[in-house]
Amino acid sequence: MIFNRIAVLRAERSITRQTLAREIGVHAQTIGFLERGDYVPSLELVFKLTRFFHLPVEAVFSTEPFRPLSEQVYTMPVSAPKLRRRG
Amino acid sequence: MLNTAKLRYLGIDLHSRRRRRIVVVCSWAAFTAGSAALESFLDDRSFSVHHHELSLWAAIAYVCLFYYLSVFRDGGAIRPFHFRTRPLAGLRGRVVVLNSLDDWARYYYGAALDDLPQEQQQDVLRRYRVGYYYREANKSRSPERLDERETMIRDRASASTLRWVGISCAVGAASLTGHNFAHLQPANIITVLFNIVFMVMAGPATVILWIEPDPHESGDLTLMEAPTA
Repeated sequence: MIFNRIAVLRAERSITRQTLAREIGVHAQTIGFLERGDYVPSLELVFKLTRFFHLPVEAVFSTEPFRPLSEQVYTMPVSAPKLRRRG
Repeated sequence: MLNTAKLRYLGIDLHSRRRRRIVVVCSWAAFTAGSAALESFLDDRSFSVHHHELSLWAAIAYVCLFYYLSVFRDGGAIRPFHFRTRPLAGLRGRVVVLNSLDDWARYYYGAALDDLPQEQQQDVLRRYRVGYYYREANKSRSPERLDERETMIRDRASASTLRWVGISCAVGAASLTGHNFAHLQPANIITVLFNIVFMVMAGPATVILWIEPDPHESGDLTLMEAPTA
């Protein structure tokens, strides 16, 4: 089983299935199948998708379920400088 | 693989898989009943002996007519199985012919010219040449071309049909063993053979209509619609 973040990435960029399908040269129904995990894409299609989103393959596809993006963002290590105490 | 734009048959909406299955079962029942009626009509000994060529043409006409009026028709509820291409001597592979602006737009961007963003429209207009031009078919982004998932579904459906035809022939042969065929008419054999022809023609479409889930496009598109300016 291959998991992917296509639905999240598409929603984030406000792209319709039709637009994405047209850009990577597949039918809109195939995007639906990919998003639901009902179809495992070929390597060629994987590269087309990652090139479209300008992301590395591992950011879009994984053999393990992805953690929710919001969870990942809020548990990222904070590298900001320490705040000074007032008073 | 389903043709969402033409997913209706005799006024019945075929988006629901359950409804599609009912239509498939009814279609096969209608074909079987029609085939049996044709066979009994042609089975008459005097008719069969004197008009044996007519039996053949009647069977061909019945199978073709039923196929093109049925839900199994290629290019009806199901997207065409084969993208129309032409062989061209001297070029490896097949080619498509581009004539109109829409042909060029579909070839390069997968949609008609009016449906493309302005930037892509400009690119199509820059590439466009008046007349008939050949382009490599495997580079086409035309929506009529089946993508990799659809090709896989089509091939699986064809393989499944082949298996079913094989099983049907084996079961038929087993059930006929030990029978006396002295009274067998040519019409009987013609009808049986054309039933097999119809199975081969309609089998892949039957499998696809049976297994393809309901298209989920509409709901998701509403949710993910691009922001309007």
